[in-house]
Amino acid sequence: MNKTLVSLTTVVLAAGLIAPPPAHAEIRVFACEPEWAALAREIGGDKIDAFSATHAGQDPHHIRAKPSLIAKIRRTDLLFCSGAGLEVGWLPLLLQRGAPARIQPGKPGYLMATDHIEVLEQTTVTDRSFGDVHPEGNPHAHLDPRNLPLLATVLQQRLATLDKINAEYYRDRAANFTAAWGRRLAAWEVRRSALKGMPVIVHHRTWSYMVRWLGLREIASLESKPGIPPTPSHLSALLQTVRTQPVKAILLTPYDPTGPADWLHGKTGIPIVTLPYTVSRDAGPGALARLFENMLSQLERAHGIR
Amino acid sequence: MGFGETVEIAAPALAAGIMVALIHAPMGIEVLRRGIVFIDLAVAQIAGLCVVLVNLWQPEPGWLQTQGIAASAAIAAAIFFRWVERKFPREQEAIIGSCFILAASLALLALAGHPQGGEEIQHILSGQILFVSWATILSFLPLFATAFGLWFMVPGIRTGLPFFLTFALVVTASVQLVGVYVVFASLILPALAVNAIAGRKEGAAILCGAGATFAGIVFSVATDQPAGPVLVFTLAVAAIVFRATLAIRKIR
Repeated sequence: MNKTLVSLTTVVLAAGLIAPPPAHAEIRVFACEPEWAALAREIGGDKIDAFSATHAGQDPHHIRAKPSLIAKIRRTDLLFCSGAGLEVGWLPLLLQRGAPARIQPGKPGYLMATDHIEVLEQTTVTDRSFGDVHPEGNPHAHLDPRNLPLLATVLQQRLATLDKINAEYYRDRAANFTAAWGRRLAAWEVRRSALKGMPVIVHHRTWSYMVRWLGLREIASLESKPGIPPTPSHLSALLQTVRTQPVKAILLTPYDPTGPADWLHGKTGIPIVTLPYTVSRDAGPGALARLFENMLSQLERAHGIR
Repeated sequence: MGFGETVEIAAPALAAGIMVALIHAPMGIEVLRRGIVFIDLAVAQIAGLCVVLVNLWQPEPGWLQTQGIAASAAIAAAIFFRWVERKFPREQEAIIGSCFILAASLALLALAGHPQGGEEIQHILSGQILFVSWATILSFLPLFATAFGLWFMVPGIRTGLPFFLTFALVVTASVQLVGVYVVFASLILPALAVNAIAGRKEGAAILCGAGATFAGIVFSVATDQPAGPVLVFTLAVAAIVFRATLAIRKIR
């Protein structure tokens, strides 16, 4: 009976789990969020195999431990995440569960985007009464497109360190990506100036990088303190604010709760705009550019430009 | 993922799950007999609340300190619930249930001004069994082994204050390993499964609990689903199958 059970288990486990390794990819990239997997694919091309731990509709603050995540992290060559505390709830635990030394903090295989860009909302305030403030700053760094060429360069250097044979390949792809991205930024510049000063309300401080890039005017956030649901007094103060000055849109991510936004929309009629926060999990080339195109079009529509 | 690696990933979760199932099955029978099924939620919530409150004064306490606070809170809760049992035996379950809701709400209030303490309590209450490391299992092993040994060798532990103390300490530990849902399920479902047996139930309950845990971890790894909810599901299925089998046998 015991033997049958053991062999049955073996069959079940083996059938479910033995997946063929990718055909020619050399470097396995574990991205915490889809945007970093997409950037890794732009730079790494077919020399890498990128996997994203979360998908676009998921709040990267919270994920559940699945067996495949542990399996993936153990064979990872490069870990690519936002950092600044975004993954603090699960990444340290995952790194403890047998992740290789080459992707531990301080190693070339450990790449946190917010270590390499100008981080917004950094604070030395340790008083937690300010809310879910990460003292490390705002982690949603990919939402300023000007950060992406910077990160492409860092990523290319890391890939070249880890995979010296293909260093040339990564350098070429990074150069191409950066050049193409520069042309896009120039094209977006025109649309950016039209959106400048557009007054918006955000749900959470997710959009700070985009708000800064586009020069939007963030009137208020629905959360009374970051990460904390709005209190009644905060909402009534918000209502007063909105009545005295025009607001064009309430900005949400796909994973924000819609309750507070619906409430404010019902009272004031300000349109709710759910912007894509990131790309799809298996996003191919060009997806990052389309993310910003989509964001700009939605904002332009809300602003009444188109 | 090769077979060897799969086993490596599943092994700590399996060890933690079986360790919890072994002691929970006999304890659950006692809990069900006393009709106080919400006591595990209440104890876990009170321990979590105290960890949050201490975090208000001192952010980022060490592991030992957190465990000390949680254990002290659990002991205090145990003494209180024992007192309730003697003083208000008929309203015991109502009081225990109310304590759970009260502690949960107080934690939410503390959380309102103090969100990162909230992350702490959420972590304690949800438990991520697949992320459990061997080191964590080993640090809790003495407690579980002692409780299991005493339960069968010193029957006095199943009554009065010793029962409440043992129960509170075990649940505070197992909640951190497997999360509150699995704690509740592994206590109550095996006990329900064997409740209709007239004689000794412990062996059957342990078989049900440990078997369902084993199946749950295998199923979780094979289908790549989060282990906690899968365990609750397999425990429920095991309880239904057990109960049905026993009933059919009785009819015959």
